[in-house]
Amino acid sequence: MTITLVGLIIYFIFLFAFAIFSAFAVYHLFQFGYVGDLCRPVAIGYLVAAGAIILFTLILTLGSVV
Amino acid sequence: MQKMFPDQKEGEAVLVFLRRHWLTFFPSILIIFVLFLIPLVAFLAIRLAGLALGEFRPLVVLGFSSEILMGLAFFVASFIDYYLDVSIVTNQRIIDIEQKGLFNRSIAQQELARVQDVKTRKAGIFQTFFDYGDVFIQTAGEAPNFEFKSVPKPDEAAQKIMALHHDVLEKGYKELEEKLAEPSQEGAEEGLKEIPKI
Repeated sequence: MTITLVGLIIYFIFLFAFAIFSAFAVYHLFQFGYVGDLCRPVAIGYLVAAGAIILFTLILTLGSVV
Repeated sequence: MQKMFPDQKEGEAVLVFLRRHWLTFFPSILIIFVLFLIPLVAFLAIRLAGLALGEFRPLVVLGFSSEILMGLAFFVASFIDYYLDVSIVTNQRIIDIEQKGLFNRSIAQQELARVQDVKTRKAGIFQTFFDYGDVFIQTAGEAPNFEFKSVPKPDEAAQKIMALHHDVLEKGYKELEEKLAEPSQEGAEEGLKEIPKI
């Protein structure tokens, strides 16, 4: 239980850094993209994929604890 | 008219829009593929070896998740670096936008009329077979020269740029001729008026 808690704390610190990076990355894709290019689809795909991975991870991790 | 890029002027038409060849993005795709593959292979290895992870299972899940998220972040960073590097030729100017990472973006531009020479270079097996390479544009005076790196069909792009440059020059000459013609006529008429009638 303690190991999982420590792991989760480290994971959330990582997620914080990941969120900051993602915010900058998505800002770039939305700000500097051109008309009809792949920037917006990639940004949306990235956010959906990252969200799904984080959700799946938390379900698996908390599921195994509870 | 819808703008193709943020700094587009009124009446400015985009005639050449170049990005690096997709093959230059391929090494990044390969690295990303490996980054995604590592957790899957590790997971399969754990399953096949029949290892009981016990209380470490959540840690392994968190580790794999972090690794996949880092792979995803690497993909986006590489994509931005590749996709936002753009070379544009309009009916008025040449624009070279270079994106390096997230926080380094440079934009160089020059009037099309100032182009002096356009060279291309294809070096190596891949550039020769997949028809991509560099286009060097030399401009007049102290103005910076341009280098469009690893663009597809560089010879075609160079020909197009030179043709556009000639068009701009011809248009400029015609406008100049018209301007020169107008005052001389006026001047001639005025001159005739000034001649005293005998």
